[in-house]
Amino acid sequence: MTTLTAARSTEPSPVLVMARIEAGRLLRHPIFAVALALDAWLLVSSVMVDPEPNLQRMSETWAILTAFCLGVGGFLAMYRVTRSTDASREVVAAVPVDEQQRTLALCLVCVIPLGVAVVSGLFTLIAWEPGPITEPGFYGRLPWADVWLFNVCVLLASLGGPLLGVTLGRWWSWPMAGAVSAVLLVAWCVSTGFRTTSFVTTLHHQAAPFTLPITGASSEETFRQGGSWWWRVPYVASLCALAVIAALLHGATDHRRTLLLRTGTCVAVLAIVLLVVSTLTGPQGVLLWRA
Amino acid sequence: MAGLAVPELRAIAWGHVIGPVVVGTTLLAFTTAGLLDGPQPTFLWLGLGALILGVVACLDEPAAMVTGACPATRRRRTVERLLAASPVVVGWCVLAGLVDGVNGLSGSALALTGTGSLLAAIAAADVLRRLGVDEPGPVVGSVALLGLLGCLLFQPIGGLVVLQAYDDLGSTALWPAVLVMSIAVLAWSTNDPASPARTLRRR
Amino acid sequence: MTDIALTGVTKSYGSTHVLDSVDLELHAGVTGLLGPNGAGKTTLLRILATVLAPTSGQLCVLGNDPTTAPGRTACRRRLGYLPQETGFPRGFTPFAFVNYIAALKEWTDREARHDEVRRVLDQVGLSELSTKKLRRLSGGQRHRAALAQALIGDPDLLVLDEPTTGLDPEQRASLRRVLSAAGHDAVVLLATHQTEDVAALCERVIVLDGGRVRWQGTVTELVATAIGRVWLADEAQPGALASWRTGTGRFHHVGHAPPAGAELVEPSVEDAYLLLRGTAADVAVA
Repeated sequence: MTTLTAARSTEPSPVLVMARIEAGRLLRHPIFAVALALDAWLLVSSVMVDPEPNLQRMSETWAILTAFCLGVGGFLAMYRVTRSTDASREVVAAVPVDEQQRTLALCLVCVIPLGVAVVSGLFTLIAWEPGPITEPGFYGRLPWADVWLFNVCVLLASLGGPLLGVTLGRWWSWPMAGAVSAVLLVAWCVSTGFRTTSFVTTLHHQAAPFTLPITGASSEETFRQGGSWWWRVPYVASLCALAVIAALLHGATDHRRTLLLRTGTCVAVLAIVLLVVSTLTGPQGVLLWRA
Repeated sequence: MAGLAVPELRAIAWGHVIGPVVVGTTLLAFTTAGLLDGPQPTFLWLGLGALILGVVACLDEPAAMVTGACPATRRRRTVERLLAASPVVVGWCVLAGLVDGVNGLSGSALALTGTGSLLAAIAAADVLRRLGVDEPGPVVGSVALLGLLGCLLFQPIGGLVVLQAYDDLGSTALWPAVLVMSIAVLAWSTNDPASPARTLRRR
Repeated sequence: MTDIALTGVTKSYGSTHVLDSVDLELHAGVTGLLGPNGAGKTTLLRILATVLAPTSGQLCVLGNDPTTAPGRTACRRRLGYLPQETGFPRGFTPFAFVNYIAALKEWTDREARHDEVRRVLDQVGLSELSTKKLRRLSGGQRHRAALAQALIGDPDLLVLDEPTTGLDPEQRASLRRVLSAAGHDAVVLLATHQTEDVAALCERVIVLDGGRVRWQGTVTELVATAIGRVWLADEAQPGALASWRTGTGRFHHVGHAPPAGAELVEPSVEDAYLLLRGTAADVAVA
């Protein structure tokens, strides 16, 4: 007998209700709040300071800010949000909304950093009104498509970072796991800044969740990195899908587990294929630019 | 002293300390060994970030309510816990000496910045502990890591180079001042919280 | 009608049988679960709360088989569970925590959910503290917040592990009022060390020891087993199963064979439990 059974209406779905509650928790989380504030402040001050913006400078500034603040900040925040209910593990285990539904709700919340990234990108475009690239170096000789594909990858980083935080939160209960993983993640991404001179180095460059299309120790000597951004975009998208599947796999049983494993295997194979293709295609060799 | 220190060292959550320290040491070892074009400030600072995560975990004390009522003073217990952190500080200074002059890096700047960062993180963790957060490690570690990553990406900040790896960049007063302040803060935070406040006596 | 039925339920960890062929039937009303530490009380409660699966045996909870996923979900929709220790996510208030659990219990309509949250918080006396951070509340207040989440939706099965721990006498009396009201229509099973709670609240009692049901019946039947076996004396008598010096200076004894001419007293649930357990420890009370 339940006195208010009628109140448990069939819509909205419990997953959406949970997503709404978790979204509120993400927005109130100190790490995410600081990351948002930092992103906004740095972006606005960059726009105000730079007198002659062009698409290259806009891309670099916005890209690095977004990847750091929303990607890494979102990763840390979602990791903490995911782990926060550990203290109530016993109570949460005895409710009808199961772990997969709760995980799905957390994954849905990760569109918030993506939405912020889209809004900040639009703001940057509108406020900065970047002019044509006049410098011969840097992005000047990159196809426009590559520049925009790079920006799409930045958006995916703002989605993938938080998703990875949910996955790590589900699988790794060590309290320092989030922070240590953030260090390793940043180290991995930064290590792709070295010149791609071979298949291995290009593969390493393309495999990273976030990387820049150009690199250079100084303004006189810059390098366009090998690999195809056309294939990199679906590769990064497949990484995001893998993160969701891996998160849902935790606690899955029976046919659900089998389905997730099969889907995950297919997506993993696709990701590997896309990675190899993105490494092999694109510009051959390295183009040296001099100012 | 060793006999007295052992219980306190046993109370440290070594898993939380060793994990990040191993990650940091591995990163530093890779970059020092000449991989990826030799020692680079970025990887040195990332390794430092991981070391900070390990060092602040030394002060996590879930049973603080109980140990606060024991005869062993808070200062002594904190010093004993920091015995676990001292090899990390020493190790960082040794590393700074090893990379001195390589790729233009300054050993003294690295040593000062790294030691200052580690001590500042320890001081912040102890202050939080005094304010009632029995396990300050994750909080201080996350904040320190974000701050470090922010400095890494966006320095100079207001013209100031915070993470100093070279002699000719950055303020020479910043990290010595941080060191002194951290020691002073630690001296205050390790006082017995239950001791009555000193009152000025009029003569 | 049997609401809960366990047949041959066993829970093992390796070669250790935490629960060993437990057979139980529970109906609407308040049932107490007594037993020493390590008897398997918490394990039994966790199995009934569908948080833990038994190693073997058959289980029927409110007409559902919790060993299947749909059965578990169906059970959880009609279940309230208060674990022995409830942690809370950082930064939560009682309202936020109970609201969160209510959402997990499929209370999808926001207004109805908030009304229900306010109702259960009022039931446990936390209305005025509902927006205060949990970490700033006393242990008893936090415990009441944990109890509130178990009462969401007036569940048909309430499983409570040590519900009165840390509560003062007034709070315990208030909790008894809540549980006795719930027990009118629902199955309430509470594990406790407080025999006075069993005496005051429970219709039936189960004694668990070493993973097995040692005794089950009504509270009156349990107390009846100790009639004529509890006595007072001016001195301690070594042959008693349990004895202690009371505040009046006389010694309270529980044993199988009171001496001739002993001053027999009315036994309590605690006396009957000690007799059942056959404890030979002497407890000295100043």
